[in-house]
Amino acid sequence: MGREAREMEARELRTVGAVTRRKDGLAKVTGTETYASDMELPYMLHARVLRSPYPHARVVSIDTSAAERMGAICITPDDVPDIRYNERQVSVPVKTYRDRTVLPWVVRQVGEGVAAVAARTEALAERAMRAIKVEWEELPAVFDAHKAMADDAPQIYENVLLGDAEFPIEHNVACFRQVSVGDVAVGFEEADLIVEREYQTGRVYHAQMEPKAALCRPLADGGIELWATLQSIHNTRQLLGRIFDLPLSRIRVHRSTIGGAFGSSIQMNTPVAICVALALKARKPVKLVLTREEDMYDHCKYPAEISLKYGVKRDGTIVAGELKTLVDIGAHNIQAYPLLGCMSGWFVSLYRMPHMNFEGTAVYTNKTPACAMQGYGNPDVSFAVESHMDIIAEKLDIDPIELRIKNYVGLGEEFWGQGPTVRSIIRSCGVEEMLRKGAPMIGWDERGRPEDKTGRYRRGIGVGRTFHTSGTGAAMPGEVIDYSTAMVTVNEDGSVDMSTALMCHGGGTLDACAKLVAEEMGVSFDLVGVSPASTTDTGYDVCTHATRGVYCGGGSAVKAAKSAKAVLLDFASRLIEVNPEALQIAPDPVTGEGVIFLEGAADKRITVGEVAKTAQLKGWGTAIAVESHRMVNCPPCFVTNFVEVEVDTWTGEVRVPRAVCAVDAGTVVNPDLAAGQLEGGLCRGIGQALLEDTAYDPVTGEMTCGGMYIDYKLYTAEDMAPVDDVKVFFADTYEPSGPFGAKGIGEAANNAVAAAVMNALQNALGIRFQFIPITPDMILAAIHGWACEGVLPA
Amino acid sequence: MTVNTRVLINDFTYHVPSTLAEALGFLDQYGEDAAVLAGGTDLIIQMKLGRRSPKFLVDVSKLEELKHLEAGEKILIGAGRRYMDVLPFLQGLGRYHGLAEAIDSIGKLQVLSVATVGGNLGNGSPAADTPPPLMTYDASVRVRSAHQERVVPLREFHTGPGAIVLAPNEIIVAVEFDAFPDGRASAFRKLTRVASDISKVTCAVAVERAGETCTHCRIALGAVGPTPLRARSAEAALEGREVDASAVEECARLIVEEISPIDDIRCSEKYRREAAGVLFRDAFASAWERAKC
Repeated sequence: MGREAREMEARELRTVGAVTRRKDGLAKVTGTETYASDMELPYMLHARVLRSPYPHARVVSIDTSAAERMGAICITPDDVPDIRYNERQVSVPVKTYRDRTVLPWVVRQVGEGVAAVAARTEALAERAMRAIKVEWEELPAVFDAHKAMADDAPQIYENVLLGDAEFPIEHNVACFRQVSVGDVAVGFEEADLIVEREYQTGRVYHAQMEPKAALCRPLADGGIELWATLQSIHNTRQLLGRIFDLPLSRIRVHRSTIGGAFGSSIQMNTPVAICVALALKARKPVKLVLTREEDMYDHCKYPAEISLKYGVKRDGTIVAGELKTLVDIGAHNIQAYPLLGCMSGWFVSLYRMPHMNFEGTAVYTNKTPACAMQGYGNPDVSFAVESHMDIIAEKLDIDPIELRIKNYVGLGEEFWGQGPTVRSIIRSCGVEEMLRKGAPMIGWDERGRPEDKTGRYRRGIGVGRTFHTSGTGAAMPGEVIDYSTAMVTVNEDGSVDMSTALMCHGGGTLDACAKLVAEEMGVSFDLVGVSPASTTDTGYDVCTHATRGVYCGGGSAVKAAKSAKAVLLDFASRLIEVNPEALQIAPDPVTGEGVIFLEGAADKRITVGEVAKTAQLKGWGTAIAVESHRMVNCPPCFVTNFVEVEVDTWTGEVRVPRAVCAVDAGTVVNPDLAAGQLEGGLCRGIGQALLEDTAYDPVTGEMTCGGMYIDYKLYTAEDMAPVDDVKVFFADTYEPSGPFGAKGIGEAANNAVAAAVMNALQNALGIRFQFIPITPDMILAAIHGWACEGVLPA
Repeated sequence: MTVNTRVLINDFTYHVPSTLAEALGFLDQYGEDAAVLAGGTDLIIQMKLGRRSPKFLVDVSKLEELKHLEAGEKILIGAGRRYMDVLPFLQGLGRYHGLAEAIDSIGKLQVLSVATVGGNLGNGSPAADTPPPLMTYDASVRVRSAHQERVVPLREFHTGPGAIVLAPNEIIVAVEFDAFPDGRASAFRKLTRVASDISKVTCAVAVERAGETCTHCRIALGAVGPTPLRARSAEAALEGREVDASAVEECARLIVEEISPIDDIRCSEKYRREAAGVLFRDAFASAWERAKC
């Protein structure tokens, strides 16, 4: 679409882009929203899981008799199907590594469940669970990815399944991936300057507000009904069908409201299968709600060790880049193979490199399994690359912003949205706009040089830029499945129902889709309802992940709305005798009701409600449409963060008094919610830079924080800069392939923040930190030159 | 892995006495099997974690006898008073900045709304926020059993991490200290990982001055030893001395030597030593300035 057409459409948007109150807002702020953990069913039992105290052990025997005497229903590995599965089903089966069962005979991390009980109350279930006697045979464990690859390391798996084929595991390497473009050796030959550095990121816990829950009701016909903390109801149904050998038509998975995810429920969570197995045995509904401690032992972000090398010309042109990464995935391979692919894609898509090499190794250890978290390898790659850009800029005496503008991958160039098999051409790009506009807002030119800064409190300013993909669609099918289904129905009073299997993680995805439908249908946002959803009444949607909700889910919703509108206009054309192609719909300014009209003809108008009601009474049918739709692009939503830090050089404390966050999300569907995403991403990114990590006791294999929030800390509103000091703006762009020009935003919000914070610290102190998180201990150590783990010698 | 902070599994009898005498009667009767419940911010978590499994809970949160707030020759704060009530009381008095800053530093509405001063002392944590400022006020703890009342100087109250001098049948009734003479002032500083956190190090200072001479000095620190502690050699080094930069530096050095911090998950021993000196300098500067008028 040309600029003129784009401006015309933007001018005409009525609902999209307006600040609207979210449909679920009242229920959430008044505490009346129902989450899976709130659900109660008649005769319902409560479940608890017996978890391993050992990081690696074989179960010799399990005696549940004492628990059963207490009236509990118990399951052990003997009671669950002997099916190896992978909880995440976003990749095609041949690229899916399957290494777990519902309850295993061999545990590979502290906290892995081996038995479960259901009883009348949760306290009784807990007591019964503790009455179970397990005889363990302890096995040697390993907690370090480098040690895990050694010849004498304990073997965590002999083999797993890749698709349906046996896949041997050697040296605990879960998978390896190499991706090359050009010839990197030639590239480095051509370079005037080569910069090489090591980086490391933390094993962060998602800390979604709701600990994961599942409630399963067994049905009389042998089927099941499920409410759970999920990001994909359809993938959950398919996996349960495979594990429990049930036809999909007898499995009904409901969409429950969830209390956040950050990626932690892309996979079908471990409590789901345990809860189903218990309910099938108990023949009663069973609810399993993880404690916070169990949840923390259930998943974490993929940490990364990265060694990064760039070759550049004297003028700053990048000629070659090489990124090698080692990822400690913990006890299970949930999605390490696509992660490595994505990391290569983020690397390729940040800065133009004629020659590139990427090598990624994912290694099993006896720790909590890692899974996708907001950004999926992007915060890690961007932390390394954006730190590197500042180092190169300093060496070449180029302004860091100019270096970025010279090399970024932008309009007309290729973007790898989900690894090497998911590519599209960039058709909207606000990179330069955000850098140029954001710099004066933070005071970039006045940031000064670290060597000139003195005194106890020192301030510094840093920048980080990157992007995230909007979904995983592409012209050709790749390793990743991506499409959505939506149904739009025009009701007999002129209101509209939208039905989709999409999820909302709290960011307002379903709200956004309802707005897009309102825009397309020409009715007010208030008149569009979001239908409850389950697997039996919606078509397939892969998963609400990969920042695809608005772009892909919204894309299918708009397509369904267009089709339903065509039916509606056909009905209207019969009633007012105007060719349907000539009709338009716009909301009545007072009632919000859609009015169908012929421009310039006052007598040719009729409301949407009148048409729908008449069509019903005359027996013409309902204006309804279902569309299953794949987006054939994955446009990047670019993001830029400027951050100011203030360091107390006496205590090593760092605070962020000011920040500027900008995103290029194409058309912004709801500015307030988009700003909220950027502010939330800023908070989490600062946490990843300065605070969040999980360490393990090398003897017990337990987390040093014990899985408790007492010692796993998160920044809250109290720690953040005042709202007025966090400036948010949106690039003025329009994505031609997106619904009304929209792209994604969610994961982008977090991806560049840690880099910006570390660049700001460098500007404040003249010290380059390459391992995150950096704590006040480490900052003092660096300032005073004390030896400290995690601080590289200057 | 049986750690959990949600499911409470042990059975207990829950008593809500309507008088202090009744509460003390329960404690006398049940002894070690009973636990006193005030705000519950520490006790309930300890029970869920299985670190304590009392058979009887005696809820004292309704007892009027524990709710004194008096400002006369002595300042008296009832043990059952919630932080939320104590903070405006202190702020109204206008001069006990150290204790007010300690309570304010807790900052979290959820905690301020239920947690009590008595509970904070009774929990016996070396990292607790209120003991250091109270120690700089030479505060005492009023303790009662069914048989007697005694007054324990706060400096003798803590006996180790999580350990205090209370007998199983005793309850903290109030904490009290002499009203400040004119010219005395105090301050409190603490370091935490995030705003909502247990302290890494705390430091409280109370001083009086005559011109540039320090005529009275109390320094107490938290989370740098097995109990909250007074830095006596540092106090002695300042008291009666003219205050200048070198005096403060020397005092900070003495504090760093006097404390016995450990490495833990919140920070390292080395960090604590460094930070204790910094917090002292900050708290002292603030109190010294306040004492000017």
